[in-house]
Amino acid sequence: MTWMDLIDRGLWTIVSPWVGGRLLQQADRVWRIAGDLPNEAGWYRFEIQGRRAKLRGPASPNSDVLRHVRTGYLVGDRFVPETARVPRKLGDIMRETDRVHLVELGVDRFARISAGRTSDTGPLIFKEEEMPLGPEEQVLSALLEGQDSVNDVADVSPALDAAFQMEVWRKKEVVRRRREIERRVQEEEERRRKEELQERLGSGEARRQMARSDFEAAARAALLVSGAEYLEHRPSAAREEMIVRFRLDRQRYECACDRYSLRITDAGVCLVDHESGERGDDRFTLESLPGVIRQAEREGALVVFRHMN
Amino acid sequence: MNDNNMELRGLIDTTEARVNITWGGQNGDLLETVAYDASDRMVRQWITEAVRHGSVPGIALDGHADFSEFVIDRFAATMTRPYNLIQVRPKTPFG
Repeated sequence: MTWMDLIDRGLWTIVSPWVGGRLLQQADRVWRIAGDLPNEAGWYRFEIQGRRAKLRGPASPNSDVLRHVRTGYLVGDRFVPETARVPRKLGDIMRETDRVHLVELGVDRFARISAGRTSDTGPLIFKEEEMPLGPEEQVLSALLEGQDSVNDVADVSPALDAAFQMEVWRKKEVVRRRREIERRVQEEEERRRKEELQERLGSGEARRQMARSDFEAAARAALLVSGAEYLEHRPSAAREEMIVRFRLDRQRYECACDRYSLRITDAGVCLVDHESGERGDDRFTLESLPGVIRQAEREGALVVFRHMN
Repeated sequence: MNDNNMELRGLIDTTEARVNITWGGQNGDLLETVAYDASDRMVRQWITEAVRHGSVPGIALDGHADFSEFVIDRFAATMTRPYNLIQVRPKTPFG
């Protein structure tokens, strides 16, 4: 029985890395995966039947199938080959790196690793951790101490320098993204707060509707429109009239208003036209009275009738 | 302007304002916001038309509404009122 017979009878299996898709490639041979695909990227054993491969299950890594093996540095899931040149800018670094798949857990930053491919055009697969060249530990310290360059570290290769700059960029990018997220959250909270306030303040008509069921909320919102702070209210002796106390510019005032229309019945301050003797109180509402008081105060014409102590 | 207002400057659209009108002891808001820096003349014209057409919720239609002598106060947005306000109210006996 020749090895060709074994292949024909489906008795041949291979171990291969798989990172996605239905094609398996090793050197110049290609198989199509029939049936189930693995649930996640990893090393698997496949049964070969002609040009088809069938998943048998997980397998231990077999680095013998990796070709074109190179050494370099790992930054996240990017591989910076030792042939990398001194980068001028981040774009240059990124162009010289490849994504490396199936990296072992626990491989630290600036680890010197080897990686290869199962075919000329296949994905780059992690092979193993290699012996460090010397300055890697100091470069890691420089990063942890927040330095922007490794000019002070001796014997740093261009590849290690490139890896360091990528890590610095990643670190800054993490901070930038975190700040961006915080800014968005803050903006969203501010928007919600404004909506809630606007909802609470409502319109003139909404406040009158509110007054029918909740006078305090309506009075509070009406006074807030022009910057006054509601303090308390109580029913007046007059029918459907409320006495309202409020604070404006650190002074307390009291007025009387209609409990439903919020129309002022007694402003608590002098709004009498001294020429005609006509009272102007009922021209105003809880929304506009604070503005009148401010004007009177500004012009030195404020006379308070209802004193509050 | 207090500190809170200063903080809000960057957060609030400072170009728009709501218009609150007090007319004959009634109170209501224009349905649309207006430019905060609109002239008093323009504001008077808009609210006169609105009240004369009965399109200010809370204020009964009044075909003879006249705001020519009314006071127009402008209040910048605050922490408690997160929008600019143009308030239109009757004149007081003292001015």
